[in-house]
Amino acid sequence: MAASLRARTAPATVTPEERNRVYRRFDLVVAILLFFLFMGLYHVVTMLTVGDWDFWDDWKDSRWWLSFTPVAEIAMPSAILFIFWSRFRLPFAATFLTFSLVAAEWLNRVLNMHGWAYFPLNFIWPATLIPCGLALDTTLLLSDSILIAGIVGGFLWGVVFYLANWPLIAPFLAPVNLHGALMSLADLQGFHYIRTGTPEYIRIINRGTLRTFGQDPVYLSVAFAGFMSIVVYMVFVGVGWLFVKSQFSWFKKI
Amino acid sequence: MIRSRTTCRTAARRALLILVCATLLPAIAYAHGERAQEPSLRLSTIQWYDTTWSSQQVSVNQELVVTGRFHIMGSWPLEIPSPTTLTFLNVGVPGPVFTRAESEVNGVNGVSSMALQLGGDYAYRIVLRGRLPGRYHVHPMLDVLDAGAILGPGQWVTVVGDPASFDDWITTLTGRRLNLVSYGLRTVIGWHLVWVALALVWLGYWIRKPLLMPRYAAVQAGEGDRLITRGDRMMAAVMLAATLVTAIVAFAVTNVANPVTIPLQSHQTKVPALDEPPASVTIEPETVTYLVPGRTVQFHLRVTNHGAQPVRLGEFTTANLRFLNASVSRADPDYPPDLLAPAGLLVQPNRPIAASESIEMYLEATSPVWETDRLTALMSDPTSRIGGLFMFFDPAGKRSIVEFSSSIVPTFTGHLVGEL
Repeated sequence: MAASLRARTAPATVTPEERNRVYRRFDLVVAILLFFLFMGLYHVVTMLTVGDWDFWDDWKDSRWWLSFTPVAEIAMPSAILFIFWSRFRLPFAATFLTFSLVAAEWLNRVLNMHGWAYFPLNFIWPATLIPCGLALDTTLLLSDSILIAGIVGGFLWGVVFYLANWPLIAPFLAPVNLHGALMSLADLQGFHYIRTGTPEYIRIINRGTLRTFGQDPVYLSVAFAGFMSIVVYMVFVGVGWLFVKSQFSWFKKI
Repeated sequence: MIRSRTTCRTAARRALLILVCATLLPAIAYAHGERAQEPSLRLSTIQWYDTTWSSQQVSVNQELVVTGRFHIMGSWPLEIPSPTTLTFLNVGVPGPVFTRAESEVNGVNGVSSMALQLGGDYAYRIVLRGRLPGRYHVHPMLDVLDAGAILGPGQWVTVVGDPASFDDWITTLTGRRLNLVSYGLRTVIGWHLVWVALALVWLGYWIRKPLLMPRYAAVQAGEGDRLITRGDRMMAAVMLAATLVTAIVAFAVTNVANPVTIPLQSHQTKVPALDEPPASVTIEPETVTYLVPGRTVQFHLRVTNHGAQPVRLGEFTTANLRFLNASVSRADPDYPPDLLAPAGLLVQPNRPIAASESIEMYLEATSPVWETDRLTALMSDPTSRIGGLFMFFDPAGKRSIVEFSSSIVPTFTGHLVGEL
């Protein structure tokens, strides 16, 4: 009895090497768990906020897709980034999240939308937010400031989204003539590949009068996305701060 | 007591087993749940007629042409948003097992969303191409803004062949010919891989270091700033530069490779109804009842022929179901039999209505489909009304279509003419 009690109360590690090995295993387990957790959480957030803009080629317009996607998607990385930085000085939360999101999206597109619903992959590819995450993380590390990271990195988040995703969508914006109607190839994909629940009129594309300020709404959309990303970043850094303040007591106990 | 516990446990195990089996072995849904739509949506909104399918079997890449007409009810229910705002001619199939090559409504290109007129008739044509082998229920369908999809009649069509042989060749306005099946996918995947590689470099740089416990302890001890080294900053600078340079170069290269691009296009238009002469027959409902035990809708109508020729009632159609007066009309032999009421339409008096004559008619539309298609659920709708189209024919075969709408009352006692 006494021997077993001693065994239970004895320290689990004795040498720094053993302790570090346990720490690394703990890191590995947490990293794997977080990867799957972020895949699920961030993907759900993306589907609920960005949804169709990310699902279909013929929703990826020069106004709503470019402005709404980065603004909606910076929320979760901002909160997690604050937690990682304030408690661990780790500047890779945004990249880790966007990487997890891309993995989850491709899994969903290949197995679900292509495998079960038969849509061709070149119609349902996801946008990438990885360069946005890299820009945010690296500016945080270089500036060593949550505020400057928000202003510079947040703005870059909105702008880089357009630059990085233009190569993906541009080939699908070549013009075609379908029986007298001018369409892009993306529009044509939407017409050819039948979606019973997504009629043409339901698309929210290029609605509004931004064109009043110039020939092309892209640059205004991108600038707007940059500024709004800063605002949303600040708000959700606050959410991260609240989380750290209220929930991190349990971590000290480990 | 013990026995009852054992019984409960056995029952619970069996229920669990059934649940697991039901989850693992789901029944395949072949059709589109059209019977699940509210009766008022099917009875009183859009009446489809003259629907034809060019074939019941096509090969991969082969065309299937669906044609027909639909009538937008003038007495469209107030509680359902009407198609005067926007509609879209769609196809009820289980996803892109066919592709839609073209479609039109009254000659207007079907890529457009359309505003339609209440009380109007429209002719449509949809050209599909077989893509994935299988047996599918193919419906014409109208999506109505804020109301949802309203399905037309469905026909089973089989697609045969090799799915890998499907192609979708397009010529762009710049003269480039491409196969839309796979076009652009390599570019998309290529750029994704570039960004994934950069992410892995950055994540790998950090993950190779101790992460959580030592860093947390250091931050708690006020030594967080010492955790960031000069090498970390160098790495961050390199990664930021690589990210921006890659994005800008990719953007510039893409602009060179795709000099002509256009924004996504949205097509919306108003489509006038077919210019049809007004019907020469008018119908005034006196009473319309549903005899529950007989599964029969009984109509007492006053019918007036304003035309110069005698006419006979040949058909009543509603909710994609056709009740034919066998002495006047016959259905196309290829028409889906499940959409034809086996007992047809009983008409009294079953004789021509002379020019300028006004008579009282009694009709019986008897069929189990009122129950099996769940149309009698209209009794639980907020507005218990029945609508449809009556089709009259003169001796030359010229058709006069009359829209009909009336309240309907269920009866639980009564008799049919055949029972007298």
